[in-house]
Order: sequence, then C-alpha cells, then structure tokens
Amino acid sequence: MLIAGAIVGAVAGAALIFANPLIGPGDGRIDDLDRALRYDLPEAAIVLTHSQPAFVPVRPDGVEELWERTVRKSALGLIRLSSSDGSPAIASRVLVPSERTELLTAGVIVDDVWLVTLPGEGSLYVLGESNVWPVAKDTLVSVSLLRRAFRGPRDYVATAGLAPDGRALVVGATGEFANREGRAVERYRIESFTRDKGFGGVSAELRFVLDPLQADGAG
Amino acid sequence: MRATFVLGVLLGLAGVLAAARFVPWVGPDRVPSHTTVVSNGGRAETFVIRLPADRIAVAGGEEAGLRAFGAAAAEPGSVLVEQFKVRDREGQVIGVAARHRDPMGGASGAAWLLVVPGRGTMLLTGDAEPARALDNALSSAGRRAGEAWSGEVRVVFPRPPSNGRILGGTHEFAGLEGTYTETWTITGVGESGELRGTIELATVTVRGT
Repeated sequence: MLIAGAIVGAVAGAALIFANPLIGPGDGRIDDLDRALRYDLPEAAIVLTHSQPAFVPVRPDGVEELWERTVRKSALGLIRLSSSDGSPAIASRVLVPSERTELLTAGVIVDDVWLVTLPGEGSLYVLGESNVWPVAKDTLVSVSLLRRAFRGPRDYVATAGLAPDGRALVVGATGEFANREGRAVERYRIESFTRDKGFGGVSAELRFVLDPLQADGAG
Repeated sequence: MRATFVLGVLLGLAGVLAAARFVPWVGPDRVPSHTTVVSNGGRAETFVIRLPADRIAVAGGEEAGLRAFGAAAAEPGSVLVEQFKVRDREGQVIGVAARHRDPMGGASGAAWLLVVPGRGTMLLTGDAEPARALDNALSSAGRRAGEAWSGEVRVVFPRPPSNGRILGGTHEFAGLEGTYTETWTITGVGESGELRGTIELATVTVRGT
C-alpha cells in the first residue's frame, strides 16, 4: 500500500507541476518598449546550429554543429529581423541552459543573449533569460507526450530576466546605441504544433527601449 | 492500511516536489579558466579561434572581402557577421562567439558577443576596421586574388593605439571592465579564398567600481 500510495502521490505531484502557475509565462511589461524587431521562423533563421536531436533541425544543411562537450547543450542562431518601418536588422543569438532551472518556482530557464545590429544605427546586446517551460508544456508535453491537440494560435512571453522587473537588459554597443542601456521583452505566436510536423508558423517580436540620450555634462 | 496508503501518497508527492525544486537539472560542462594576474592589477585571458575549423557561419557582402568567404547570406549596409567556436589557450573549445561589424557612417563599430557556457557572456566593442583590411594586408604580403597563398600576416584590430573596450557581461563576467585586442594571424589562403590561421582575443579585465 505504501508503494501504491507513493505512485499516486508522485502522479499528483507531476500534475501539480504541470499546472504550476509559478512557472508560467513571463509578465514583463511591454507598454514602454517603443521599438520592435519582428521575425518568422524558420524563414528568418539564416543559420541555426546545436547538437540536440533534430526536433528543430539545423540550418543550413552541413553547418558546423556544436558537438564539443562544453557547447553541446547550447544553440547558436543567425536571424534576419525587420523593424516596423521595414528596415532590416540582423542578430546573433546564443541559448544556453541555465543552472537556475527548477520546476517549482522558476521554470525551464535558458540564458538567452543577443547581439543585434541595425545597419546605420549600430549594435546592441540583449542579455536575458527565457523560460521555455510554457511553450514546452503546451507542445512537447501536451501534444507529443500526452497526445492532446494543440489549441492555437497561442501567444507567449518567454523573457524572464535578467533585469529585476523580469525583462531582459539591453546594453548599447556601437553607433547610436553606445553607452546606453534599456530593457527588452520577446514575444512569440505559435500558430500550430503537431507530433508529426512540429512547429508550424512561429512569429516572434523582440521589443526594446533604450534610456534617453543624456547631453554631455548632464547628470 | 489506510494510514500506510496516505503516508505513501505524502511521500510520493513530497519526493516529486523536492526533485522539482532541488535536483540540479542543468549541470554545465565547463573547463578551468586559464587566467593570469597582470602586474598593474586585473586578470588577463586569451581566447583563440582557429581558421577555418572554428568558423561556423558568416553573412556579409563583397566589401568584407575574404572574410565573407562562403557567406550564408549577403547583408544590407555592408554589415559583416561572423560566428565562431572559441577555444582556451590549451586549444579546448569552451564557447561560441559572434562578431558584428557595421561600417556605416556614425554607427561605425565592431562588437563581439562571447559566450562561455558555465561561465557567462562577455561583451566587447571597438572601432570598426577599414573595409578589406585583411585583404589589403595579404596583398601587401604578396597574395594575388584568385590564387592560393601561404606565409604569415598579422593584423591587429582595433588599430593601435586604440583598444577595444570590455563592457562586462553576465555571471562570471558581470561587472568587469577592461580592454581587448584581436589579432588575426593568417598563414594561408586557399585557391577559393578560405582563410587559414588564428584569431586571438586578448582580454585584460578588472572588477568595475
């Protein structure tokens, strides 16, 4: 009876984690983030490489994979984005699973860092953490494991830090962005997900704001 | 019997919740860092990229010259994006890096994003090098366009006396300030334009105030 009880308890625990609101989607504010860079996956991914099973295939075929012991859990992307006025931008993005991952209060956390260049304006860094549990729960767990249907389209805010307000930090690098800081949030819209074909139609938006430029000598 | 079952339920529930909270689900595979203390304080660390083995991807236009060899895409505005694996001075791959160069007008600059899993992210920025700087140095050393070449050419970015700036980063690199130089040592060019050699990112950092 002890073992039967333990099994029932474990199943109840798993159900609690599945429904755990503490590891749900991020709540980073976006109302003051005045700039947006948009992209659609997989079309916007010029390069995507990692060493994980081919759930999200590498692009292009033959690209060097991250197979070495120290980088094999990481992913590297080269993404083409566009501003709301149609101006192009390009970003290098690196994802690394975070030691902060835990399923009771944080979620499945990945360090999510970007180097974004807007031609003619400059480059900036986005230093964030993303909680991928909400997406994984609705797709890999619900659809692939529990064989439920994906109820889409669904919107997600993945950003979960590094700033204290739950948003990502923006650090200006070059050009007009040099010596400036700000905040950023990334949102996704997933149109569909099936066990056979995986993700279908993913659009994303990186919204950010930079602190106002201060005149020389101003406090 | 009922009490035993209830005890089992509680144990099972507590076990799963404790595992969710305390099991280290992610353990980074990191190698020891090879840093040295410099005489005026701070620490020095050099990151190495071997060409062509560590080159993952590049996107750029003709203005990038040989560095755009095999580009996955041409980029507007002459932006050059290069992505690499990064090694420590022992030659072990420890991370990945991206370098963006935007040569346009007042936005001119170069920026590195250096990610070492288990240690964090380091941010480095500097002046953009002139267009085709590497091609011009190779031409001065006798390389002819369209032909294979071997020898040794060393080019330092940013151009001395300017140094690149380290803007800190995340985790182990958070709050660091300092300078860096990148040294491209090219020992050969293939007939198709593939570069052979190394890039050394030499960093000197101190804890910011």
